[in-house]
Amino acid sequence: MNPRTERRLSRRMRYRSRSVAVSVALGVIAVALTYIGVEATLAALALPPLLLSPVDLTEALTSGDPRALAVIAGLVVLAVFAIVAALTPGGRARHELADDRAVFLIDDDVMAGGISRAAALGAGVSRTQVTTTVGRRRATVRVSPSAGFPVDAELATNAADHAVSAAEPLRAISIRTAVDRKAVLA
Amino acid sequence: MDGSAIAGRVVITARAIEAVLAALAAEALGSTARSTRVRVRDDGGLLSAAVRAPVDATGHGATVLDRVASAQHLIRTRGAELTGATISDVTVRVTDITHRNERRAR
Repeated sequence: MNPRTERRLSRRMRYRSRSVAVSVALGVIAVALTYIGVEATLAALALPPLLLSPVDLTEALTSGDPRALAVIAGLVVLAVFAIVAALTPGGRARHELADDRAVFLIDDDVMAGGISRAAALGAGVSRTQVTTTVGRRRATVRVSPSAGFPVDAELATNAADHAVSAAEPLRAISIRTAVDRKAVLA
Repeated sequence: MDGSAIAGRVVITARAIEAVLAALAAEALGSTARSTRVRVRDDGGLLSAAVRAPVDATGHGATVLDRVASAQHLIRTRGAELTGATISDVTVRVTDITHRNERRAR
């Protein structure tokens, strides 16, 4: 597989598709352009407008009528959504793994589960006493110790590091372990 | 994860620790394990033990308070040795002061 295909495939899986948003935006633009074109032609030929002339439309919208204001507010909200959708990368919670022959991705939830299991084993606590959240570059492991048996955060971190490096993510993930002050009675 | 360790883990339940501490307390205070109640709770990651037991005052030169104090110390150190848990504090509540040969004396 050539590198460019690989990059494309990887990107496809790591980011959300924007095809729906793009289709909707194009549809809206097409309708608006058609309306302007039709009304402009009719106005140029001095014919009555088909729906509503653009002049009347702007007048109605700027009249300060509550309905007009509601319509404007709705449009502003939609515009904000459109801008956010256009500008944010829309990444998914996944990490790409190193592999020569294929594009592999691992869901962050799955990664967090593996890290939790490894950290629990490393710290000598039960799996239920560990929760992990995985971000882009960093994973945070929270361990609540068993009462009377202090947990070595470093052991948990090392075990989690091992688990992560065994999966070989392309982008390194650093592990931070936080030990809860409150312990659990077995 | 390193392969040398056997998969799985060892859990010492709070009940087991309570039983061990109760036995130690009974021995140190001259009471029976049956009449000794121990409750452990979490104290910021360490174990805090609350002991309720009668104290036997037969043939002891020391005062009851001295005996309880040394029992407290023993429960903490020996308890930690036996169970492997770190004990932060031991509270002993004396529920009764007994004399073993009370009955025979009369």
